[in-house]
Amino acid sequence: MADTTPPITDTITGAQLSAVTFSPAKGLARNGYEPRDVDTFLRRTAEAVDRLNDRLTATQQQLQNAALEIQRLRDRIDRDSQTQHVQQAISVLTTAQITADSTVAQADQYSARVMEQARDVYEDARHNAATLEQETEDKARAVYQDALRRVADLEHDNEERLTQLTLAATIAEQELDSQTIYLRTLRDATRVQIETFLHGLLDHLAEEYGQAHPMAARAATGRATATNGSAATDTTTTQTVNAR
Amino acid sequence: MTDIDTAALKENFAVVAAHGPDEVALYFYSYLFLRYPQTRDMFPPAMTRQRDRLVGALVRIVTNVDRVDELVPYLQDLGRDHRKFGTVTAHYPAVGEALLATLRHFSGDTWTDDLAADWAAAYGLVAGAMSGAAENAAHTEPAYWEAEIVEVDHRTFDIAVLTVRTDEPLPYLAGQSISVEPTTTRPREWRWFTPANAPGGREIELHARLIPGGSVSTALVRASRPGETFRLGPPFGRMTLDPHSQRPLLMVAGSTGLAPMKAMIGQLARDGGRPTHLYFGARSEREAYDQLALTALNDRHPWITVVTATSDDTRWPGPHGPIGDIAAASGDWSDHDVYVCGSPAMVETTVKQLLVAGVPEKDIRFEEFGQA
Repeated sequence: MADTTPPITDTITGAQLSAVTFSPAKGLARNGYEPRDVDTFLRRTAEAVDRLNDRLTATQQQLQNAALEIQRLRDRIDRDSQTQHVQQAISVLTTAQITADSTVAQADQYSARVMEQARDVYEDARHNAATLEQETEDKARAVYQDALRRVADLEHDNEERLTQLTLAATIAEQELDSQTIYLRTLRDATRVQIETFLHGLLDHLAEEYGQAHPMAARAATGRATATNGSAATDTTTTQTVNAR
Repeated sequence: MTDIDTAALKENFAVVAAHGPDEVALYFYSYLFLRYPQTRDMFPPAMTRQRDRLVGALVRIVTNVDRVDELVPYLQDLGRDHRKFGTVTAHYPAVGEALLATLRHFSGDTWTDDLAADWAAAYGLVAGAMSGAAENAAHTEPAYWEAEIVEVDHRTFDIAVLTVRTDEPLPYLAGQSISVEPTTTRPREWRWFTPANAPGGREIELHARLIPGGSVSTALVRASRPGETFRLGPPFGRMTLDPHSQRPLLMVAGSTGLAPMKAMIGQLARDGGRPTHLYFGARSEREAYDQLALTALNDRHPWITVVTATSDDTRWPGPHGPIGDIAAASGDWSDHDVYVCGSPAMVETTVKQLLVAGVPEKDIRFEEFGQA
């Protein structure tokens, strides 16, 4: 057999078979392969195929056994699911789960309680702050309103005073007016009296001196002035008067 | 479910449930984890909420077992949503086995081969509807979206507005909700939140209010930091805008129930706007946490009227009282599309008052969410 022929082992592959080469035939027949090589190859291949077949059968048997075993186990499990062991296992698992659940529930409850308390504290603080703010605002409003009221009162007082003053002023004005009227009337009456007196005096003078010489009239006028206290005294007219 | 004796199933379920719903659920999960330990990782450490969910789902399925039209959409949503937990088709037989073992355990002597066959057939239909919907959804959307926190804005000590950016757009409708898992701080805990912005971009605004003892709300409000990642589940919910309606809108929101209203207003603004009255109620001025945004909306859009009322704040200059009372008494809403969102108590009283005020029941939309 030529060196190129691979050893055929338990596992025989298509690639191995494809790769097989044989030495050319020796002697006179130049066509074909060396028969001894081919015989050896065929024998080894046959052995390998037999071994593979055996293994296939064994594997199939194992598979069948396994399937039977699985079925047997399944049946047993189905049967056993009602048995003591399975029920015990289920019971243990159930207890463990309940324990876990209650632990988690306790933690959740604790966290809920803490959160509720935190929220209460927060709401309380907020409420207190709001109340305080409200109270402060109420107080401020009361003070403001009180001030407003006082201002209003003051305004009211002032208005009253103003009214009174206005009234007083009006009265005073009226009094002043009536006094003014009285005085004006008095003045007018006095003027009329004085005018009447003066007219009477002038009439008297006219009667006394109306036909007199212009010089005498002038002298009469001068004398009249003198009787009023005039310093401009003419000795001659004085004498004239005295002469009368 | 023509070949299944549904009456017998209901009767058997009543027998089983008589042992106490929590007992039954405990047994179910213990069996499941014992037989298939790898499924334990899909659930949170504390299972109380999970058991409630299971019982709730089972009751709903068994109650509606005769009404396929009710049941199938619910199961399809459930299947689609379960992808976020890492549920794959291969998990369904395990759950079926645990369910049957549980039913058999609590049925005692009343268990029969016929019951076993009927339950197996019924579960097969349920699992088929769920896993079928999940496989369909897998062609169009991921099991969940990764989202990174961009901003955490603490409006008060117990209300935060979070902005997250998803790895790819999450195709929700304005008003719909998504489930959120704080992946690093609360793995495998999912809760519903509603985006407060209209869809389209990769950023989502979430309004979170701290619930005392609530693990996810605490994680969101107090423990979230920019850079941290969340997982977001697929969108659900039917409280959305009617694209064919031209009617005016009334929106009544309590506290973080404001989020879907803001998303819908964003959508309305995009679509040209419709006369909208938004009544927002908070306990106090402090809890009126989004006034800047509301004032901005009011100023920007002439078709919006925003009224903010407080129920417990004597110093608030605006209206006082429960927001439902104020909204219902403020006008004739009988020709409006009405949306209500808030705490369950607020939604209940508001809906009642609006009905009394003459709004037809079909025109009032609100969301009832169970646990995510």
